[in-house]
Amino acid sequence: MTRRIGIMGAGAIARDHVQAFAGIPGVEVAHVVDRHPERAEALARMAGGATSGTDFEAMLADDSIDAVDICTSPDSHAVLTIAAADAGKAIHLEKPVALHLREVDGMLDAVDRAGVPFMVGQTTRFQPVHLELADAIASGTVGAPKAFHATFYAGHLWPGGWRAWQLDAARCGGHIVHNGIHAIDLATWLMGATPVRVFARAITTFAPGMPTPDTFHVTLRFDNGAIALLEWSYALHKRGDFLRRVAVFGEKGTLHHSTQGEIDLHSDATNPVSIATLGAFNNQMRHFVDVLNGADPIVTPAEVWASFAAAHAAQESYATGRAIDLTGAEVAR
Amino acid sequence: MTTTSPIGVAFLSAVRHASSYLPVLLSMPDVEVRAIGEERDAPAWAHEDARILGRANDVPVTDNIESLLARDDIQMIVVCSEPVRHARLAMAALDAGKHVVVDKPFATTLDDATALLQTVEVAPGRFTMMHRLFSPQIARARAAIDAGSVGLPLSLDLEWIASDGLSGEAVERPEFVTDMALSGGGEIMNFLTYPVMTLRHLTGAEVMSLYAEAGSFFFDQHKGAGVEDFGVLSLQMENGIVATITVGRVPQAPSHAAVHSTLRVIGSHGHLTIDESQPVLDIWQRKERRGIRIGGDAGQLAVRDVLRTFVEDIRERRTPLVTASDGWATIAAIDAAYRSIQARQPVEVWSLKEVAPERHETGESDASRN
Repeated sequence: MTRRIGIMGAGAIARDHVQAFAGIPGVEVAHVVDRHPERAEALARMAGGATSGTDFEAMLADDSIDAVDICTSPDSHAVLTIAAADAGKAIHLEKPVALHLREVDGMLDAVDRAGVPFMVGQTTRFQPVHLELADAIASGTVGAPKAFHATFYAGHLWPGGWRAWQLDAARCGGHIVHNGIHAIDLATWLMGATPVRVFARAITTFAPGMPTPDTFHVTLRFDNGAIALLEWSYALHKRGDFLRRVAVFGEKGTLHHSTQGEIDLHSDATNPVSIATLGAFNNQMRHFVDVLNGADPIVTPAEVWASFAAAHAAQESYATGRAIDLTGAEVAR
Repeated sequence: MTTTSPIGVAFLSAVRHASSYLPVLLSMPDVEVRAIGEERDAPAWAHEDARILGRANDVPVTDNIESLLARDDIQMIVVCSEPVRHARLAMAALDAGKHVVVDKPFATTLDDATALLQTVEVAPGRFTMMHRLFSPQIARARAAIDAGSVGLPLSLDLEWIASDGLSGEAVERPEFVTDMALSGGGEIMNFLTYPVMTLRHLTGAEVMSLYAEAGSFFFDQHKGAGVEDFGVLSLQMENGIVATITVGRVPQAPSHAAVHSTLRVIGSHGHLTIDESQPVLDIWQRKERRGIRIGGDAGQLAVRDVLRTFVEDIRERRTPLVTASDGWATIAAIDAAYRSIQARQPVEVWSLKEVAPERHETGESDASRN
């Protein structure tokens, strides 16, 4: 049985998702909705045979659509997720889950109430290196993980000029939430624990007028005592430059990966992407199809809550200069 | 042809790293190691270590520190005790007019550090401490930054992680890094000197505030003693520079070397990374893989160059690369790390001006001497 997917939002991430779905049997992109009809139509054409429109309510009312993939900017995630759940659709939601913690409560309640499959697209988990890392931790190779260090550096990648919604904290939740959630979710997942204390620091490097930092780091303390140091920079000098490192320090040994030395290509023509991170969208969407067929999502609602609460605390820590203790309802839902 | 008389050297206490520092000094043609001294009321094991080292290297051992420090044929003292005695022994040697190199850490409290700094400033002898800034890769990073190759450094990340070593391979007595009465702290006290010194060396900026998360995660010795074996730090430096440090001891760090030491610098016009264990000649055998660092172990090279260069500094009347002010700044950062862990909040790193205002106004800095 082929599952029919409706895409909400026809931006850059939706294109990645449509491409990923194209290679997976048992699923087809059936309809694309965007407030700009021409963008919806262009993406639908790319999906091959999909229809397009501007009315998301009509798509939700369409019984032939099994699942929606919400690819809009985060400020619309809560409304669309709750509407989709109420319409009985399975949901794949682009990260970050929402703008505010209070929205997440309502979203998870709506999904619970409707009993629909729900998964937040934490793509970083699905990168080959992190799938291997999770397997290695689960196999007990290095014993219980106690500390985690991740380095995510990239050359500047700021599409949309000064109009980009990624620069607008009111629409993206702030850079530490918007992009920081990748590594915060990764740490939460790999350490198998919930962040309880968060500290963040950030700077803006190459464009002094930028309203959001391009370089930041976060420390996490987890409820099992483990710690993490996560760093991001979108300020490497050359566009396309890329450096990723992860280390998990366990009671019996260390797991470590670096993209340095993987490929050494010097050219103006192309920027090589690390094989350790390639194919993540495809892995992610294959997993979502498994979820549609009854599997449990590896991104659990509890983890969605915990990483989002930590990302929000990190944004607050950056704003206030204080370490933030997550207590009570903020820690776990 | 000119001849220079050898510089007479003595160890003041010879525990911990003395066994690796002594051969370096013995190999230097213009140096004679003339004595090892240990305090009369030092523990029996400290006297035993001194005796063993002296016997193995034909160096006389004495427990009469006063007469050792009064000898005219001893110009340079290597303070190589457990950390809590560093400052006191170094001050005694400086007061006696000797040139002094002290093992790291510089001191174990900010008060001791300030007293030592003030002693250095009025003492006739030269002073430095053990450091890794002569390590080939760190020197290379500094040269690249000085050449403007990455623009202005803005964000730095350092890892300084030792592999186990508690069973005698790296740490002679685990108590030197776990027993507060001897060590003054855990692995932050033991190791944070190195990355903080590297940060200041590469950026020319001071650490203004920091946040630390740490704990005892990996070793029963640390857990039992209630001291940290591992931590992560976030630092705010002058000029808007930010930095992160991962520091401590784990069962096995991701490196062939005894210490996994790596660095990333993001600058306004480029970035650089170094791995102190590189370059490596890999040796592949059917069931074994080993790496030999080309040019020698970075840590041993650094020790060799600290001692060699200090002897030259004494002869040439030069200011050493690392001065007491630098040592003081590392202890200010270590002090802040422990305060942050306690407060669970970021804390200000004290500046010399705040801790010793009278010194700041009237004191002569190391750099201004000569």
